[in-house]
Amino acid sequence: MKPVYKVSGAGVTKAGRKLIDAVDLDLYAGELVVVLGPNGAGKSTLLRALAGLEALSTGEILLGSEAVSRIDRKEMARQVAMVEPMLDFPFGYSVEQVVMMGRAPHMDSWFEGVEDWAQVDAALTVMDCQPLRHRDYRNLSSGEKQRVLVASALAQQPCVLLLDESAAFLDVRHQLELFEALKRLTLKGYLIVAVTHDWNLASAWASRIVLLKDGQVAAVGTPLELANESLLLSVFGVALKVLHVDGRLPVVLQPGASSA
Amino acid sequence: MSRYATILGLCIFISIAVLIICPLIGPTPMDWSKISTEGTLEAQIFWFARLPRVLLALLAGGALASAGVLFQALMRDALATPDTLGVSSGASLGAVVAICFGWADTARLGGLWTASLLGAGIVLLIVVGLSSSGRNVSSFTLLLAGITINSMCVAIMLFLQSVTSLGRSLAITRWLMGSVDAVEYRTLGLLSLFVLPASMVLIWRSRDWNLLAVGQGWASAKGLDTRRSLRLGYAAGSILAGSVTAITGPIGFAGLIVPHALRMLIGPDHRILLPAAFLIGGAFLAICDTIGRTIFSPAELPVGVITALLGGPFFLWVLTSRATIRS
Repeated sequence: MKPVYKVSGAGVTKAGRKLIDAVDLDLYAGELVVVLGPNGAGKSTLLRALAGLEALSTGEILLGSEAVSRIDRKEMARQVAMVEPMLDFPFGYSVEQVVMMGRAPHMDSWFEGVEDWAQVDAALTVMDCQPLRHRDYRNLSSGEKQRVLVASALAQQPCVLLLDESAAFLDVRHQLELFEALKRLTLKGYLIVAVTHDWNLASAWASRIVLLKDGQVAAVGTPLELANESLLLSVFGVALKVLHVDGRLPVVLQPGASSA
Repeated sequence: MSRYATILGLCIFISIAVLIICPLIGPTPMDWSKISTEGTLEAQIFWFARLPRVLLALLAGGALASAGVLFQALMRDALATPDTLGVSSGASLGAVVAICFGWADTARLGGLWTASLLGAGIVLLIVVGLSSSGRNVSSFTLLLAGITINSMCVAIMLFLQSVTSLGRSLAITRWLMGSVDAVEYRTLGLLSLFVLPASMVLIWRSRDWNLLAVGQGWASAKGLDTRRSLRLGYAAGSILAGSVTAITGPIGFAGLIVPHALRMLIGPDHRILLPAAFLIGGAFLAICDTIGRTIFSPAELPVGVITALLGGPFFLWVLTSRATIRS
């Protein structure tokens, strides 16, 4: 199978600092890839580079058979939707308007059409945002905002969804619902790449985990393969405890301060 | 869509009402049967003093309010004004130079206007240059650049004003007060050649300003070529502010409170906000000017005094009433 993304030797340097360096990755349709790693490991930079929002200083990223740097923004937004963490909006757009902005890459006319409304409706329903639809985005809770942003990304009808810490502000029920929704999308052939700090969320849902450390890929594999205490110690710098539930789902426990 | 049509219809109705009613008001008692007869005093006053003045106010107010809406969106800053980039200061400086060197003495408006447009144009080029040189120029950089350009222009103006003759210094003071005067129809035509296309471009690209008002990262993630859009926006907005300032002098407040009041009343969607700002901004300035030229007649108050005194309290009222509704 041909990968959706082929990342080879990708590096991003800013102000003399290598944010990501020599990253090689193949990402396939139908995968839910979770990127994990300590702060400053380059997780967000990798995501932004995949979205074409960060220029590479070395290597290249192919989307399909074309270099991301050569795809024009509008075409890119039809294929790849990016959800960045917590945006503050300076003006009072309604939830419906925020989600409708996801239709921008598909709209050529000045007014939205039937198809645009249908897609917005569907996205609002998937993300459980229908009751919020006429609320002012600025008055929502953090978790509600996050769901609206994901809905707006879904309205782009992409084949790739990139999520940066989208689950961080969600309560347990909405975390589960988000990942259930993501899982359903992967069954439809979406590629989903999500950055998170929550190892347990990752091991429950990810088909593969990419572990980043200091801008480089430390390990790639299934949650089961990577739930390895010595690997986690070398990446995160603290001793973590791995438990296996039902003999398959690895759970990572943080030790008390004394044992660190 | 029906809400859109209602709001737009209401705004059109208001500005047409202003266009009809404001020229009827004035200090000189009029025998209305004579205004269609050529050569009468009534005809002179109506066609060549009041009507062009109201038209200029409609055009100028509309341009300033549209530019205000745009700059607030592009800078994601509710306190940005059409002059935030310093373009109006450039226009003012050009005019002051023209008055100082006597270019404004002979050709009634020609020399002044040309110099003023040139001033605005130079500032515009500096700003556009800034916004295209670096890979990513933040609105913060532009804001700082605008403040710097503003203070430099003010400094040069003060310098020129203090070394020039007393008569010219007075003329400068008068110009810097900002006013809507009766202008020739040729001037109005020329001004509309700048204002109307620039406003049309802004309205045409409304959905882009919606995306940029959220943020540049958001806009490019939603498929917008943000550098191109920003350059287009700053250029069009500066043409609006610069060409109007060149004729009226600096008029404060219209570009700040009309956008704000409208955003609170009808929401932040630029597809309706921009046309509404153009129509209501014009009506607002025309009403302010009508009050300014009648309330203490025969003395005339500069329109900037009225916009601030009338608009300020209204704006505060909108702010507080809105705050109570939301909380």
